[in-house]
Amino acid sequence: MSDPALERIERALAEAGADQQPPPGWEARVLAAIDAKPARRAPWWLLVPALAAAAAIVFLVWPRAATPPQQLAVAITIDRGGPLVRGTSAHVGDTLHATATGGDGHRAVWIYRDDRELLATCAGDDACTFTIPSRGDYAIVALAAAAPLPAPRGVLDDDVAAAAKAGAQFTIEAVAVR
Amino acid sequence: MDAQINTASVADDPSLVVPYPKPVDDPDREVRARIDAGDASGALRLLMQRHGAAIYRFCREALRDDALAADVQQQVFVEAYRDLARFRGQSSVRTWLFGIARHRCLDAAKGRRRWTQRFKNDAGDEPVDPRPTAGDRIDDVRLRTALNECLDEIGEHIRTAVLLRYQQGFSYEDMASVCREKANTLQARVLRALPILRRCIETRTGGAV
Repeated sequence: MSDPALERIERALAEAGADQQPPPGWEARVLAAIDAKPARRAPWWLLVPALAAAAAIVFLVWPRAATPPQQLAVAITIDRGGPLVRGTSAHVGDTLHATATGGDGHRAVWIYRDDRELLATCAGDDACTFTIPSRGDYAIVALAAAAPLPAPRGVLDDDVAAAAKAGAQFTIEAVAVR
Repeated sequence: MDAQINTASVADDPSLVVPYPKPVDDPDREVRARIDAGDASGALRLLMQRHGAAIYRFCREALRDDALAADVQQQVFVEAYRDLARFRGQSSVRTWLFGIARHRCLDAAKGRRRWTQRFKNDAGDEPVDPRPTAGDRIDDVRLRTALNECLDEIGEHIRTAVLLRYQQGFSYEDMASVCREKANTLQARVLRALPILRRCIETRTGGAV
């Protein structure tokens, strides 16, 4: 290859997506997907009486005022000394407020820097307030579980995988601090 | 350095005969050792640590979609974990993994195409970049921007081949294992794509590469 134009394109291709990183917690999602073993499929003919029984039960005991469980979510606001803003980027010294909503039972928020440093843990429904100490890629993990959550050890992927194994729902948001 | 084979000495000494299939000297030996030891979970963690970012980057550029690339990346490692015990070492672990990734990316692209054809919105097409600087050599930033757009315009099979070659640095022989196609076919596909990309970039920018 001696055409400088094509060589230039080759170099640009080599750098294509160089700034792209997988989303935080992706390893935990893989481990959680592997741990969630598929249920064995029942013979089809068993489904007929099962569906009929289920329909009868739903008809008889449907709670009139039932509301579906809300999806677990985490709301993040950044306090820069002025009005609060929603966002996924912040600066050193900003105060971050993270609130987990939805999901069932015990809720918690865990905050990590660069996936390997656990900087804050909060339990309950109140906003988790945290002053950002340094630059990095922060991951804000909201969790909810019927049983108490296992204590995080400090590595995002391992902690979230352990929580998922214990039956917790989780969601992860990223905040870049530059 | 290419291996030198002395046929006379091979005939004289049966121990010099290379068994078939030839085991690949794999930088991921540690991964293979864990597979052999039955430690699938440890092997998977190593695989994710070593190749997770590269697989995501490949899928992101092949699919041009962050969320879809993240889903496919997850599928790739779940599938790799499922198939670890069947991995025979006839290619490197990286080649094997990228074979799964390419396959899943093409499946995802096909699924998306089916969906977008059903709900096609013509208003979503990007207009041609109207910044003409006729004859000028375009700068790196404009080159990258235009290249990014032009990669959208070539078919997925060509795009994945170009990315395997230049973004991931695979040889055509390794690409043949990844794509299950002949090395010459892939080389021709990649070399044909470069002038197409060049024309597209120059049309979009109005400058020379």
